[in-house]
Amino acid sequence: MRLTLPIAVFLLSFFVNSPTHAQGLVDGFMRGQRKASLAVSYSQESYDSYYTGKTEIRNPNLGTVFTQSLNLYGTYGLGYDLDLIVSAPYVRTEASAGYWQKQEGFQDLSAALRWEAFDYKIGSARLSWLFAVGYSLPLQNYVIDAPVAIGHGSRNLDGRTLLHFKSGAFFLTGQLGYIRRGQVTLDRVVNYYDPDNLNPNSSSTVNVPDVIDAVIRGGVATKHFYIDGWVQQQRPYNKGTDIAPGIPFPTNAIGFTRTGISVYLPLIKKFGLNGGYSTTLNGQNSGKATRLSGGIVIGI
Amino acid sequence: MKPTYRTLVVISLALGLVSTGLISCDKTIEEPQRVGYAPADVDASAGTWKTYILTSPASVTVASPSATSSADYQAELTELRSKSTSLTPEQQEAVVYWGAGAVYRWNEIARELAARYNVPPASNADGKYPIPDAANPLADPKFPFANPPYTARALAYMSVAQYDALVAAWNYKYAFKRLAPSKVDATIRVALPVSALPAYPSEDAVVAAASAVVLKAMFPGEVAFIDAKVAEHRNSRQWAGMNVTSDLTAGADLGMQVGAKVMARARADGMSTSNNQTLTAGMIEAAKSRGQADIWLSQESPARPPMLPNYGAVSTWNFDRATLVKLRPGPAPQPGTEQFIKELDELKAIQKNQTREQARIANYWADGAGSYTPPGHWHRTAADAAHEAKFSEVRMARTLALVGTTLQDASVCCWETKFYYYTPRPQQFGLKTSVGVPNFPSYASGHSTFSAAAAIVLGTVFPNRADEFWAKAVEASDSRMYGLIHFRSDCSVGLECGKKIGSYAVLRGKADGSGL
Repeated sequence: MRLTLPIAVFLLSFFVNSPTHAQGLVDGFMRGQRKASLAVSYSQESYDSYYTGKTEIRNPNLGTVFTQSLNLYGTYGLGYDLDLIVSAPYVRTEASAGYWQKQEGFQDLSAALRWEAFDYKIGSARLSWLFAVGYSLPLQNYVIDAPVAIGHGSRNLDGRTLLHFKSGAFFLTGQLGYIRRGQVTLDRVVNYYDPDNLNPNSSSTVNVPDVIDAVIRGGVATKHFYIDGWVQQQRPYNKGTDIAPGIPFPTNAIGFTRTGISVYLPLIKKFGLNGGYSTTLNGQNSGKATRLSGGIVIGI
Repeated sequence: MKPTYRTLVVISLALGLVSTGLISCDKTIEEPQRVGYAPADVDASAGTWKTYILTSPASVTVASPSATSSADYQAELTELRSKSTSLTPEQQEAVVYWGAGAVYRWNEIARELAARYNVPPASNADGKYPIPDAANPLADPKFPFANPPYTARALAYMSVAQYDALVAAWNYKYAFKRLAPSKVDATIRVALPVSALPAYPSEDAVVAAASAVVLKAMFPGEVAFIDAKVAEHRNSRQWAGMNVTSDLTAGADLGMQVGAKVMARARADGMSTSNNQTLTAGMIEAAKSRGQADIWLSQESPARPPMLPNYGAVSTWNFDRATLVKLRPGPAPQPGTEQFIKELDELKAIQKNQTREQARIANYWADGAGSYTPPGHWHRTAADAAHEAKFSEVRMARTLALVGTTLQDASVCCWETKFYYYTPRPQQFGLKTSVGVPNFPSYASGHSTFSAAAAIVLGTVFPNRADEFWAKAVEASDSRMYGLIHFRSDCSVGLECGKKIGSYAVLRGKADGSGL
């Protein structure tokens, strides 16, 4: 399908989904008291088609959008049932066609507390119920209202609950979260409001739709090897806008369903390698991205 | 720690985080609402000010009003009292909204329409760009594509219609001297400040009707939307206790007469041939024969025909065709020359190290697709300044007509220059952009021309803010270099031309009898 939507180059806007959270900041495995890990990973993500609303289109004035990121991810066991998780990515994104400038910079600093509230034994299996609350904020004032951007600049509060089941080497984790996004200030004055926009006033401050996030992940975790498969679905909670001329990018309703795998291989004592792959099944005002990542994990 | 204490600590930590988070993720956006005022000066002599299209206020007619002592008027007062006694929240909201000012709100409405219609047609399966059809305005692509020249013209005609209609209205107001209803009968409850201005014909109804005639012609798909605004505006004047029905009816009638006269000029101003794409081949040949080796090429894929190549032939407001030719600047630096290389290098350096502040300025002034364009941006600046200065409706209309006509003059001059020289954009020399590439030749910068012209006019109307407006114009001009879509010559020459263009509107303003 060629461009059938009323768009020209100016309007192609996306929120680049935070690459580091493409599979969730929080997993079901507790770190353990006074134990820590630090991961440095590289990921690259690309898409040559994207969703305007829920309609998939390509744009010859954008080509393929390619995003690389370098991410620091640390966990620390504050207690046997309480972990602190921190992450900070550096992101670079650019389009292969057209004339948009590449954008790069530090994206958002995220921190979360994960609490294992309940732990049940079912025979030899274990079921734990966890809660996590996280907060993220932009590390710098990057451009948020452009077709090629590294993020949407809001401060976010993330609350979620997880059920983690482990039997022998097998595990299955389900999590459901709500991400509340704070308002952002654009570089420009908004010239008109879409009925679905969250702010009816004429200024530079706009609201960013909240989202609901669900992840199911299952796999095998042994001393020597870890592999999982996962599906993540994010849906806008507030209605939000669709990509269109003059509509601020941050007010767009972002959603997607992605699926992927991740692996972890311990090498020597405290070092290991991780890697992952994911692809997009469907989306809303986001890129149809595939993503590859790899990194080093250091346990302390 | 005991497990219970730990649990407490965990819960309080989490709660603390949640409450901090909720505060910083606040969703309420508070904006100051503009409200009505009693004008600093009612401009009682405005009925003698010089109009644009009307030869004199007598060229439109207004029926003589019935005396305030008459039974007819008393019946109208009774009706007004019943309408204004108790208001629903929606009615109160409408009163406050329209109370901010008739010209102010209609300018805002026109800008919003321009922004909604500023959508470039998408290419079809054959790689062609369909042309919007005025006879079928809501089909895809919608008519009009309210690009900067289109918007400059639409806003200019609306502002001129408002101004001419208000000058005529002031003439009749002071001829008939009918008092405001609340001054005839003190029991009429008013929700807005009442000035000494005579009430017949209603200035609000005049502005609404004149604006609606122009806007319906400019945005033919929005007739129902515009009619609803006119009705709400009219009703709000009664909910506020400000006008009896005959004030409003006479005003609407006057506004429509003036609107029709103004649109008669619009239909013959050359806009209908502004998108004549068959002329471009000749324009390119002519530019080449004048020594322009590299010519502009569309940077879009598929290549899009240039925006309104013959808009330079549209009528101007404040000077004639011969003056326009004299205002056209000399040629731009040619690729390969020392000057050109210097200017290209300047852009390359910005591309390499664009600061966040440069990006912000580029974005702030971009006013690209989906916006009310640079002319709309300057109309907003002008309307806000006039509101802050508590201008009367007629003086606000005069301000916007002066700014609006100079912005259209700037758009015509600038387009004539662009297609006379047909120069390439920096993107033809490998530069990217942070704001999108406008689809027409580079020299001279439209933003610079518009902004300088508007700033010069505003600096005369608001002398104590002249430096501020000029600084904005310079920032708007620089923004195009920060956005990497214009060379320095495009911008500096655009500013110079804009200054000269603005000075013609200033001359007119000084001689229009308003005493400024």
